Amino acid sequence: MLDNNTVAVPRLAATHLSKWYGHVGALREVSVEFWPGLTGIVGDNGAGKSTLLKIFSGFEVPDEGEVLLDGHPVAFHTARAARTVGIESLYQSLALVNTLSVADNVFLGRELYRRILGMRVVDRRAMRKDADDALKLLRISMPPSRVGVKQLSGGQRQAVALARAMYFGARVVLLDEPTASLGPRETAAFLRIIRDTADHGETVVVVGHNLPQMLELADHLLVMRAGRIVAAFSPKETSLRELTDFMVGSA
Amino acid sequence: MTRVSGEKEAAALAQPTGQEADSPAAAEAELQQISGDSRALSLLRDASLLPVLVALIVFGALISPYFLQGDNFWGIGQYASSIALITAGEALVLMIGSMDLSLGGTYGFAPMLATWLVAPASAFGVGLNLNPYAGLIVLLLAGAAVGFVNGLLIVKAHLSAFIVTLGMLIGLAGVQDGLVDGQTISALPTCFSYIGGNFWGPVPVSLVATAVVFVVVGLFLRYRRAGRAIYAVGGSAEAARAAGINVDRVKIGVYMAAGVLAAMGGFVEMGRDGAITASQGYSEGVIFIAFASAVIGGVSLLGGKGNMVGVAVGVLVLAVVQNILDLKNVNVFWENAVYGLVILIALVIARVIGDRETQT
Repeated sequence: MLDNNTVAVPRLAATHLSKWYGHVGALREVSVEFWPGLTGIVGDNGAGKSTLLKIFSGFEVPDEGEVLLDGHPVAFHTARAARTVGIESLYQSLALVNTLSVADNVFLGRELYRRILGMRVVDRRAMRKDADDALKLLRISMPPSRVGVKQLSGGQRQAVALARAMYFGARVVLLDEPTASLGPRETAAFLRIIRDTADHGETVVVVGHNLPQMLELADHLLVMRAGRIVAAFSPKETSLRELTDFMVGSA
Repeated sequence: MTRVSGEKEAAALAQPTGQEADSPAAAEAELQQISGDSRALSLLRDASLLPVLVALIVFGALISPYFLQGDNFWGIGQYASSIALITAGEALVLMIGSMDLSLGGTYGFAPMLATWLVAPASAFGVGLNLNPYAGLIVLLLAGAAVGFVNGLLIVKAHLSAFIVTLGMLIGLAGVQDGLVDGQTISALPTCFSYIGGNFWGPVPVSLVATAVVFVVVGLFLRYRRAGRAIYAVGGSAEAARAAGINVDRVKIGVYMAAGVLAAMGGFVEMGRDGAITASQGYSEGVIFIAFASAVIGGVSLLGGKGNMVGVAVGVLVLAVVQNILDLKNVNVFWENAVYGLVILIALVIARVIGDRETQT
């Protein structure tokens, strides 16, 4: 999909994914590839965007089909398992513990250690330093990582989750409506961060409702409708009008 | 990972505002101020009620010449030790966002069971004459077992923590009573009364032992993965689960640890009394003191918040108040009324101070 592509296989791919909720087909035989860069997925409510993302992030298991990471089939039933293979999903409220510090959140479940008298103890200083460094890379205004997450703004919280993903070398970052709860300034700042992340060669997948925003942000746009991917565009060769037509099925 | 997308135009388009910073200046300044605190200050914040404790000590010294004397002072430490241990247990359970009323039962039941197995039949023991050191192991196992059953019922069977531990509290008290027909066992082996009853010079052994336990638990919470997991589980079980923490195991482990701490507290109290009574624990309402001490010490009933420095100060505040009431010979029938009022005031102060805090 990218012009100067030197990698033979997509970072993340799916073949013939189907997911049914009772008689409702949320996903129908979806095959898709995600390459380094930023892919946006748009579609009406119930089009299957979130279901697709949930499967990639381990929250849902597909009824049929396969997920491939770097060309190899992967199967996971938990978000933890998806994280282990390098697929990080940023869900707004789920991911952070309000009562803990930024550093504790970045390293939650994956703490850094040092040895004292032969005993492994959590290295709080190293965690704070690394968390500060990881957040600095995002070039967003942040308090030091020893501050509690509950004191952060919505955009800063998202940045913490993203820094966590980057620090642990995520292969793919999935975001579902990442700016839905952010104000205009924070939205702009956070979009800039994920754009930067994609420019660094990460594979970023964003599900969004805001079509003008997605047109500006994405390298590639996928349109979903009724559980299928009905169109794929480069933002430069499409328009708001065309996207909307595909979304509602009048194209 | 080092590949760079060639689509610069798209990147440029994606930065409509070109802003670097996005935070309002005021919030920024506030955060900078918080972060400006030194490490020592952060430790002091853990003990936000320290000024209250100091004020109480000054008050005590003013109203009674006896208050500051060594005997009385170390006596407070000895009295507070057993309360501190059960409060540490309750604090851990509160930190995971739950509660455990049964600790008050374990506080009496575990030492009673151990002593009953060890004491001769003539002293209301069962007549097994179990080795006292084996009795100590029984004591700790009893605490862990009660916690394990609580944990299974609450975590695996999804029953209400309040109801499960209330039932357990009453049941344990009943067994404690039943084992000895409501009698008191005062024939304690030396090793049963040593920690609770003996002094090293002026210093009660129980206070040293309790301090060691607090340091160990405090370091565990701060520096061990499982300790950090307790805060995470209490703060957001969902986020903890998503981070790969085995939430159920952490919770059950905490109920067990709390049971062991309550058993140790009861053991120390038994040593201080030189006897184990049928009323120790449940009938004296020790669980309420433990709850109040923990919350005054900054442990949140909502979970995810609290530390051992705060818990220690919370326990000492109430212990000093109790001591002052005793010294002033407040009418015993009215003592609880005063005590309750003080608890409410302390809670309000703790809340006011605590709201300014940042966490861990």
